[in-house]
Amino acid sequence: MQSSAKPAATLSLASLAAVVLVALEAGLAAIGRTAGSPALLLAACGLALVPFLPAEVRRPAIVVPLVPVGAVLVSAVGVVTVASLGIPLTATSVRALVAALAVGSLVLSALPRLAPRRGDGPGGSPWVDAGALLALGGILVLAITLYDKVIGAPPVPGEDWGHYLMYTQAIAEHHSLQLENPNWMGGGLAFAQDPGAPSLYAAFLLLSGLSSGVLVHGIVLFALLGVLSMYVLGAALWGPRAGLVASALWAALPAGINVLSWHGLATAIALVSFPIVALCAGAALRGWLDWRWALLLGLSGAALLGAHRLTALVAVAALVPMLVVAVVLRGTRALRFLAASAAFGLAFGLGVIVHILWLRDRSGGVVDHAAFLIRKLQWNYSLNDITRYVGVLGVLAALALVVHPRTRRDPALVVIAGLVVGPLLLAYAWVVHLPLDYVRMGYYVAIPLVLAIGAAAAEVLPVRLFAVAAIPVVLVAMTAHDVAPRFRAYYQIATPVSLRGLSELDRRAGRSTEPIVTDQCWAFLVPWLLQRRSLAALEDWTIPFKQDLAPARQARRILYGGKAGRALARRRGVRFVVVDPKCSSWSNLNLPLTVGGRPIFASTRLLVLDLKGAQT
Amino acid sequence: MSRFTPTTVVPVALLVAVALAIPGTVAAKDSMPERAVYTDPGPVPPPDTVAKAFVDRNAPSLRGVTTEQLARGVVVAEPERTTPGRPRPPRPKVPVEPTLLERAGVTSDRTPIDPLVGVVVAAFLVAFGVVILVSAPQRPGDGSGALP
Repeated sequence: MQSSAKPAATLSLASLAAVVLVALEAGLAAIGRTAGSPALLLAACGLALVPFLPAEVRRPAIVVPLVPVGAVLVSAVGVVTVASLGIPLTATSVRALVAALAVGSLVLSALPRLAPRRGDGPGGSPWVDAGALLALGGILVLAITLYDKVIGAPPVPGEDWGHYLMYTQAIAEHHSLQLENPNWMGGGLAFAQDPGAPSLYAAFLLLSGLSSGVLVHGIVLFALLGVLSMYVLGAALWGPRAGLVASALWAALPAGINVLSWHGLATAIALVSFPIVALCAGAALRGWLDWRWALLLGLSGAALLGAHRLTALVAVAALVPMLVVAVVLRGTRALRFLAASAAFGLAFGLGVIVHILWLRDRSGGVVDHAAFLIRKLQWNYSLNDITRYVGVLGVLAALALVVHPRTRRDPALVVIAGLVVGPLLLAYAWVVHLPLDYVRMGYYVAIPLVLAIGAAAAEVLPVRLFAVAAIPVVLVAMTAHDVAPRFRAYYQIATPVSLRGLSELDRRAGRSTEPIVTDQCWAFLVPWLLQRRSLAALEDWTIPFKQDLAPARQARRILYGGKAGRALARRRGVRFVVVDPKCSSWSNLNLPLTVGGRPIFASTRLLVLDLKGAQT
Repeated sequence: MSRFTPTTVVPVALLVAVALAIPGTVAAKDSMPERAVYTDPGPVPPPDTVAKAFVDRNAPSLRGVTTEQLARGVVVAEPERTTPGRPRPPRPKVPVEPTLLERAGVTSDRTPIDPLVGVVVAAFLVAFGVVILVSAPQRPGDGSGALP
């Protein structure tokens, strides 16, 4: 029998554990042991959130995976807020922030009005919880095994990691988010990345004292947290079995391999928050309109906005229909919930908003939609990422949920519909001239499909047949396993061989301060790896902000502009050019190189030309 | 009891509306250029032929270099190091700057995870967990059809 009046001691223990972790970290740091500091403080952030989690997720099978997810939400919002409000981001300020969160959580959780009560939770079977957590562990092992195929051995594929690490190092050195990049596009332009991941990375460096290079594998952590987050979404709405199937499919999708291969760090960290945002909308539809859900929606929404503006836009497009239906179904209670969520969102997202406004002013704003017209959604490419198994099964599962007597009255089905409608609308937003990378919307459509399959497996499939759900997971995982080496080879620009070439270039460039001109493929890696000024010949569809347009055009003219380009190179004092011989497959313009020059290094992924003495 | 409730009609109506609206609008306004770029790599051409053709075209002095040599990397000696009438000096061995390796995250040789071991461990955990899960008494919220 459960009491309905006593405060839940376990939840106070979570806050207490957070305080203990903060104290432990401080003690270890005092004796110079800081390698584990980021993990300890991250865990403290997650535990500090536990007392404020809604009753409907308060069972071990959901709280345990939600703690690391919540840790990222809390810490990302906290660090960005601290930095955006002008407080220098240092090891001390990060420690003080986490200590304040832990102590604040302990104090607030003890207040009678805020303390959760026993018996409020969904009260699942402890055996179900134990089995679910064990199976979830297996899914994480599967994910790690697949991800290792594409990003295990360094140097990792893709080029975006150069950009993220450049920003991370700058934040750690200058203790601020609002900085200029000294090497990018000749120097002097604002760092234009979303602040979520780089600010967390910088906090890691400040606390641990380790070098930036160790962070090249950090994206795997966020990808795994995305798997946990997908589990939480399914498990909270349709039980642990739904969460297991949805997260297993999510972990096995080639789409995840795709993002890792080009190092979509901002996307990866955004997909930690996105399922939680969707879960909060599902809660509103179910009539779970507690202030705790509003707090979780405000927090996850703020974290999402700081992590990746594109994913945040998808969330807005998906949430609008969901919340409209919630208001229709729940009336003024839903309106009050929305007002509370907006208030929490504004409070948590203030730092992010300040940063975005600064970036908008400094970067000249977003480029025109015409630049992205070559990036329209192509379903055959998206289906390769989602796989035909998930595509077909997801549609069948959604139909089964809509007609099955057990589920057809479930308001949370609107979550699945909203998650389909949002990305689809944005995929065709070029019709209304909204600038965004339309092709990426195919990736987000995978979320409602795996969620529908999970919900159908839990609610429509008889329990004794549940193991059948493993079949699509195995098929999808086999597909991902097969395509992983192909993705790695395609995006593997930095290799031991090409690093040797860059090292030779660095030696020959000596003390030269003139910019190195790169093609699109080496654009983000050269400024970071060589720590030298560069001009990147980015094509317009890869440029998010107007500040990069003019220097990118100048670099394109130098590389591909014939005699006029060579004259420009001389005027700018450019001596070295770095290109990837296989970059043509990334290019839309696919222009022939006309810059001319003497080769100093050549390999499969790197050609370095010296323009000194080149013909005019 | 009616089979059609707001919660079943709304998602279906949303999907149907989008399905009906998009193709017409897209067909009317589509202006996609002939060639387009996507994140999917598609079939990858044979490893080095693309690179070899590019190097041949843009660094004619390296035309004699084979695809295998390109895969290993070719360092071209600096002109000032060669003297006319004397044999070319041996190709310089280029050590990679330690700081560059560090920035690239190449700090140690890491053994990749054996996929077979990973799959076996994952399958064992999942199977064990699922057996416990499905054989346990189901309650509301466990996904047993008794929605909260």
